[in-house]
Amino acid sequence: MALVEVRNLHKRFGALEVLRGVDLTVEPGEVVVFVGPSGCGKSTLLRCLCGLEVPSEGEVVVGGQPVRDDPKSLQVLHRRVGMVFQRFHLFPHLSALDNVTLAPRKVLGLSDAEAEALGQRMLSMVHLGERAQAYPSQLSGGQQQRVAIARALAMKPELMLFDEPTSALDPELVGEVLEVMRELAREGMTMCVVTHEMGFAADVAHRVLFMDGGRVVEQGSPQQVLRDPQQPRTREFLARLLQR
Amino acid sequence: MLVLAWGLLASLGCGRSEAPASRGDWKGRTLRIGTDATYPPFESMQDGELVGFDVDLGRLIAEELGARVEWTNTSFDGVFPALMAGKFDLVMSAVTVTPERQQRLGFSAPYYTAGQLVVVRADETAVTGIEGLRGKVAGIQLNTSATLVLEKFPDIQVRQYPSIDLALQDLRNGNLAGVVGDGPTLRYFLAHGFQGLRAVGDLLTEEHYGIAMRPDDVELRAAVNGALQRLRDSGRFAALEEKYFGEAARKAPVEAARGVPWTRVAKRLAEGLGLTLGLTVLALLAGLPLGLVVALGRRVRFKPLSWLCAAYVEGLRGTPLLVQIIFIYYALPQLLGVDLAPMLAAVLALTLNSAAYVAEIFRAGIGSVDPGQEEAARALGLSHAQTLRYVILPQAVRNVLPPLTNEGIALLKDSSLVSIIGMAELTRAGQELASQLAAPLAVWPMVALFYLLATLPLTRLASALEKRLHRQA
Repeated sequence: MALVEVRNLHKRFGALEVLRGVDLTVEPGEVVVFVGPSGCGKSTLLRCLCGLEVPSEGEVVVGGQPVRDDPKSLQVLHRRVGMVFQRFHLFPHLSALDNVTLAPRKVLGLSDAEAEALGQRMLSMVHLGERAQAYPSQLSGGQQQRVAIARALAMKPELMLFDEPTSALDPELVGEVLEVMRELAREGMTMCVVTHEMGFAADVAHRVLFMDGGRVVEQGSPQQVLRDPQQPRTREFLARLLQR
Repeated sequence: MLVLAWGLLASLGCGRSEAPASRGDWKGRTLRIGTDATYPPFESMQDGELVGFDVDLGRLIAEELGARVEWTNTSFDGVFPALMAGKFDLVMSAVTVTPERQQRLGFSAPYYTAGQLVVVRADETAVTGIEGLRGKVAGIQLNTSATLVLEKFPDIQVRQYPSIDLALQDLRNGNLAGVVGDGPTLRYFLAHGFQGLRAVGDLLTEEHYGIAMRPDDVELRAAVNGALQRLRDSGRFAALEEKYFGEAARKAPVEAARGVPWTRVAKRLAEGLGLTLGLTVLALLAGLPLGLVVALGRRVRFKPLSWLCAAYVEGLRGTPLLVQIIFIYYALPQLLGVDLAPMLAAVLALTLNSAAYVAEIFRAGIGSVDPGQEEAARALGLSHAQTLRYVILPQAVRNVLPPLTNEGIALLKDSSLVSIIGMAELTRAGQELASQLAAPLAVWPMVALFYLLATLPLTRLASALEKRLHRQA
């Protein structure tokens, strides 16, 4: 059974319709990369998958559970889906370790010792075991984003969402974050990634979706979509991206 | 101010005077008397004790009635509203009987005859009476019968002062041409410390002091008048007059000239500061959580609750604290039938007022936290309450420490307003000392110093706390 099933998803903010009928299926273990011009709706799609937005129309089913607009069922969804933001959103008043252990302690009810052991494991997984006591302000952007990934992983999500995880980083820090994401993919994590890193998409993605104007315009293997796009809009977008 | 307080009470129908009329027999009961002890020789504070002609007379009257006596020392502004609200039974505070006051208050038979007097600087030879003040500025004490004299001279500009010693000080500083006030008290001040001033001309009026009470308290009036008559008959009244206004009293005024008794002043101010600090700490302890609740209430999606919280903030922030204090202490008893002790009313008023400011500070602090923080917390599965408790509030508190410190300091200083309901906090202690010693210039800088002593540690504590929190971020 598919882990994610999206059927005819529409999302409106007032008069603005950001998603205009999206269908999507993600199988367990699959890595799906979303590309497209800014404002095409890819971030909104991700936010619908993790329950930060609720559909205006259509259906989102994650792990067999349809997403509904009530706090209890949204909270259940949040636990199953990890989200990594463009701007990290680490909690600045907590150390790296406390950032990672807060939700396991408060939501999963882990004891302090259990949570700490888990947090250390997660930080080691993103190669930051040494910086557990550091506060976010003492970490580089790349390190902060890796802590944010560890924080999401600590909740043992079935699905990880990445919303432009390297866009806010200095170029020399992008590599360390993508490396952690590659390792995750190798371990079989189901991932949906919004990114402009075409190299990452080509290497890691099982499938690439090109979105424009709130719709999925084209999808297929990275080879198909990135090397041999069929749609004019896809070609135009990729050409512009290469010129930069 | 008094006008406002009266308006408030009048709108509540104070003519009815809900306070129960007392029955005739006072044996074994407590006679509660209000006074403003900044008016020697009638009433002033000395070493923490109420002293003066009115105080002795009140004691004698209570003795005649077989009653215990309980004094409340409050500002003259607040003394009549408190009487009408039933906070005490009599006002003995050198109250001149005027037709205007007689419309609202009951009075005993007059017990002292005084008159208005003009005081000028000693080197001012041109002014020989009130006529000499025409076209100039004269100072009086707020709400006193000097107003009635000056009404007849519209070309004299009047400046009103909360206590008479401040008017005299301003006269000495050269800002007034003269001061008009009650003869006995002005003479007392001239003899006790206000050198360089002199009285000119005779008494302008013949005024009678009476003991004020609620107008419907007919039996009490009869009892007080009876007691006064018996005191006159027995000669004890004459002895009292001799003690305060006789030959011996006139020769005595050397005490104050000896200089300011600093240890006594410091001790009294320290007591006042203790009360000020106590009021502030209690109001902050209660106001911080209440303010937080109101701030959170404004964020709730349930509209009536958020409107209620917004209305609370606007209502308390948009009206003067002084009015709130007066309302809670004087009007609430009549509206709800609950009688609040002054301390409780003071803490309640300060708490409710500061909570409104604290709520706005917290609201701004919460608003200043990046909305991404809430999204990140929700995406991790934290509930709304957990997000608030573990993510939003810790950051908001760090942001609001400087404005909260400001609010604490403002509250400490604003607490001086509760002197209107008779709380002898630091400012009120200063007022009493300044008039008792006739030395405002010595007392007020000391008062300022004591406030500084209280606020400086608070500022230091806050900045230390701030530094500690910022080291983390």
